Amino acid sequence: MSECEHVRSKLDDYIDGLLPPLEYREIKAHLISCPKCNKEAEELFFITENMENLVVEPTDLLKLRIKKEIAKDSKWRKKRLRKYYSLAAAIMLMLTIAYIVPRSIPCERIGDDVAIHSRGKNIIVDGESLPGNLTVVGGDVYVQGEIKGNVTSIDGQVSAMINKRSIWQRLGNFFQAIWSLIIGGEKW
Amino acid sequence: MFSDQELVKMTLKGNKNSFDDIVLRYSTKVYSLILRMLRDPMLAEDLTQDTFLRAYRSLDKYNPAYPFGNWILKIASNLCIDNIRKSKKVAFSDSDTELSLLTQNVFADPQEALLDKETSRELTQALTVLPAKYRLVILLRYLEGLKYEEIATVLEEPLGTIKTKLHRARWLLKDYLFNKKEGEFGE
Ligand SMILES: [Zn+2]
Repeated sequence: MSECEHVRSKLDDYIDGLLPPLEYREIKAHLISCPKCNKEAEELFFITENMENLVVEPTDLLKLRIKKEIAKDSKWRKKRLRKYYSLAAAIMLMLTIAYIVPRSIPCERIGDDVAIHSRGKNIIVDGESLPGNLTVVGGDVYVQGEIKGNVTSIDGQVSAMINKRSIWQRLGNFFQAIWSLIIGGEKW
Repeated sequence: MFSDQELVKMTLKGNKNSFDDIVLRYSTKVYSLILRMLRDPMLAEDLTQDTFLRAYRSLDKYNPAYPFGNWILKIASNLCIDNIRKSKKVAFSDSDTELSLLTQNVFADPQEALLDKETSRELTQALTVLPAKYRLVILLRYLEGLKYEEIATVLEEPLGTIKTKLHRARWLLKDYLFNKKEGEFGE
């Protein structure tokens, strides 16, 4: 390999500053003394140095558009995430009802009002207060808490009962509290 | 000023505006790369948007041990490659026939007026004759300022391959710009 060939094989590393100092000085010395190799090096430098000038800033409109799309996407993602949380919470509630509070009340809530239709004994508003009316369509209902509205019994019994809450009921309340935290205060 | 890694963390924690800062920080890098790869400003805008959306959606997969800029350029590079493969307007290959794309329209950008217009135009034109995979490597090196090792990571190719491509890309460009010996492009 002639000296010129050797130098040209090193030009890539030379212009990228990747040569060790000694080799760098050797190549540099050759370029000073050899116009042909120097021309090659200058041409390569021209390309690499001017490539930076090809940077183009996007318009503000595009930046705005991207931000908007991201915002849209984040809302969509939150909704989806919320769905998953709700689903998980619903499953937890069903388990709670099935195993922890077997005598939880099948009831309907319309606003503040509650309608109960079931057979057997039920305990309602355990230690809490019901802001609306209570309608009992079937079954026996024991009221431990406070009912602010009217109590109507269509085909059932309503009685007030002051009782120590069992461990299961406490657990039930505990899970209900967690539930309302998860769904962000939404009523079930 | 927050680091990229901090901004990513904040975004993942639900801070809405943190990703906006990432967009501002990297939109020029991403847009420039895509524009110079595809030479179509409208398409470049769409793919720049796609790049950021993809990054946003897979942010939890980003490894903070690597520079964020390289990660987002990887997404942009992949989108460019996909687009070129699909469109087939510019073949993603270095065979001789596909090298002779000299008649391709060269994109003229108004902002280039500020720079050495003639040089930029020449260089842009020269880039169009490079096969896409060489063009991508040389743009990552000199437009984006990535090191050889970083390009290898971004493109998931061996360092040796990157060096070879870079070498060929440089000499092809040089020949085109200074010698105009188009016949030698295929090697
Ligand atoms: Zn020489």
